[in-house]
Amino acid sequence: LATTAPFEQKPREGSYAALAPLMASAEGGARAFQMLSRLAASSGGILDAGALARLTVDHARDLLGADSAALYWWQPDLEVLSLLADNDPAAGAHPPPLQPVEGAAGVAFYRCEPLLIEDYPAWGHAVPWMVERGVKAAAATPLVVERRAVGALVARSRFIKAFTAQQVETLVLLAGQAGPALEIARLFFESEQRCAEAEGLAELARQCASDPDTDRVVSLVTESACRLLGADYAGLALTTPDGDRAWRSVWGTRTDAWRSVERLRGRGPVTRALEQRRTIVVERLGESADFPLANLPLHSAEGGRTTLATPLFSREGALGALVLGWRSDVHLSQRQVRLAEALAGHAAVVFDSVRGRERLAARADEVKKLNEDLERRVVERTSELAAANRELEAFSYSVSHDLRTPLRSIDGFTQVLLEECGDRLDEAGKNHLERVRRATHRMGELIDDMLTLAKVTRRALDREDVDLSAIARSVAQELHALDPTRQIRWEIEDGIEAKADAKLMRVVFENLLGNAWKFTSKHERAVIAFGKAFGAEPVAYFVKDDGAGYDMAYADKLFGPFQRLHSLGQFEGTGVGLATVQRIIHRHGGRVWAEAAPEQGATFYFTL
Amino acid sequence: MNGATAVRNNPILLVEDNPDDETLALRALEKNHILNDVVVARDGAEALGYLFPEPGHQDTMPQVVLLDLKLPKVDGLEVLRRIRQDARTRHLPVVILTSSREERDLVSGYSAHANSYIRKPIDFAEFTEVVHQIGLYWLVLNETVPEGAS
Repeated sequence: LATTAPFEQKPREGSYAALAPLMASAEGGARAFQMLSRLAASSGGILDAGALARLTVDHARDLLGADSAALYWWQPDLEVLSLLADNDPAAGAHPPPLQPVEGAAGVAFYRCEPLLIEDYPAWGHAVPWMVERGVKAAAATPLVVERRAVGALVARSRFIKAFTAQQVETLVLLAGQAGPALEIARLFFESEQRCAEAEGLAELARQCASDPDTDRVVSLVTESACRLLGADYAGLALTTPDGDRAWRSVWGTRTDAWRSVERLRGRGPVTRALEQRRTIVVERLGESADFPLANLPLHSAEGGRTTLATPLFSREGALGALVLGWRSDVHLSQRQVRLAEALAGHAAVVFDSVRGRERLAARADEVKKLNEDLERRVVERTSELAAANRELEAFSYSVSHDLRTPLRSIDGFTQVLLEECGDRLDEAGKNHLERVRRATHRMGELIDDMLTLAKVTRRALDREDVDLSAIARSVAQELHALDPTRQIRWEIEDGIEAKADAKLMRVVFENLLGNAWKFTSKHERAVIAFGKAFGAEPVAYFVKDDGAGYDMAYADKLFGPFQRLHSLGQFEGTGVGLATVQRIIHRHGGRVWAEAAPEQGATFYFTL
Repeated sequence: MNGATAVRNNPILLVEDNPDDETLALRALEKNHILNDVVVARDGAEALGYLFPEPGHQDTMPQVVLLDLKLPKVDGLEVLRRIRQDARTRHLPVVILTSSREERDLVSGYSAHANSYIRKPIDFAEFTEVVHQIGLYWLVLNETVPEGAS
């Protein structure tokens, strides 16, 4: 073989001059000329490469008086010469492609020069199946465009030495016509195909943008893949949340095998494509040792001969794979593989967003349900609370009216008894009656305190800017008025304001300052203070006294209703006051606590 | 007590269903030397019957009404409303004298134009003092619209 650069045309002297001897034969020349011009005329408008190729081989056969002619075209990405047309009736439907140095066409293409083989079976580059078909002689010429071989035209005969050099030159002339025409047709086809691909991708993008669900996207992608790649059937295997893969949709399939297979077995091209993260093409299905037909139940059911599986990846990992199938042996070009990958990539993006959207929608649904549930529960609780409040109010109302009435009778008639029959009672008797009266008063106080506690619970909280210092001062004045002789130094910090319920805060101060006033009563002099605790966060306020204090060991009982840490003999009280304070502070969302020691005073802190 | 309390002799209408309270109230009035007649109505209907008598029966208008709120048949608030609706009693001084100081009662009492609202103290000595104050204020100090004027 020539070692010069393959496929490239060498300068040829007098290729057109070679027409002269041809033309010299009047009959042959006229016929050749007629044929060539007819070809030129008829091929001028043809943009179908297949039709053009068929026309060319027919002309070649007729011009050269050959038995058959064939036209091969170079596939750069596959590096083979594939058959475009062959008018030999013995040529099969799917003839194998030629390697660049195989047969007359292959060698003519490779050397980029015409070739005359007088004894084909004896020729070193003969293709066995051509010899089997009875080819004895061949003439071949490259198809040249822009000085590069793009294919080859070959004429064959069943007779040895059937072709002359002149006939080869005729073939060269014919190829000179056919080459550019075919290239134009090919370029036209390619541009049309690219347009169709671009349109197909754009259409897919448009459809996917219109808010489809997963099923719609699946059918759009598989349909587009079949149309753009000329596949006979297509399917999308999508990974399920538990890591399995299942066919979500198929297009153009004939068998139910796809529907019935829910889980992929994991030995086919899909698994391989996902594992290797690349496109897997399997040609001549069933003949491949890599993928025995037994592992490919779907393709074998479809009668598939060629398949392509390309993975769908998103940021979250493998989504699945796009699978295409052809029922014929096709040679997939790199362009086709890239197109399939583009489709898969496109589908991955769309699925990603569809799944994201579905997840968002599901989450939104969940949130909506939770909200509805919450609202319903709030309504329920509110009405329960309202009912409880109504009951409490009715109860309080009744207590307020009816529980006090008998106390008045007890106290009143005890008094009457003392007044009217006092002279008939001894001191012990009078003392007993005084005890009855004291108990009655205490019961009255208890009732009033309980009513206050109940009121604190059911009253609506009315927060406003409140001058706590002013409330404290006002309560201090009231306490002072109770016993002006007591020597108490009130240290009330000025200008302490808070957002709180003024009426309830007054109850807080009545209790806290009242307690301080009460528990300092055994001391000759006392200091009672109200202020803001330094540096506390959230802001804490305090009421402090230097009175009797109490043992912190019982601090847990301090705020329980009816709990008292001092005996009645020591200090009066109902034990409801601090419970009321705590209730009010809690209703403000605050906290109340105390620090104290026996005979060292007590400090109550609260936040709001 | 000073003798001026007897200057006007119209009766006091005590509307009170509890016999103990009635006894104690009468005793407190007595202890305060309030010598006005005391008419006792034991429910709301009785009070209205006294204030709005059948034609032909003319009772003396009371100088002041001491009105309990929780009453059988017609409650105190309703009695008060009827009093204020009628031209004959519109200006009659009405003092609500009751056990509760629930906000609800206070608000509705004043809304119905009670002249005063007093809670009965449990301590009888305090109660006696309250009755003294009532007597002093409503029977002696307070000037009412003369009868017949509107």
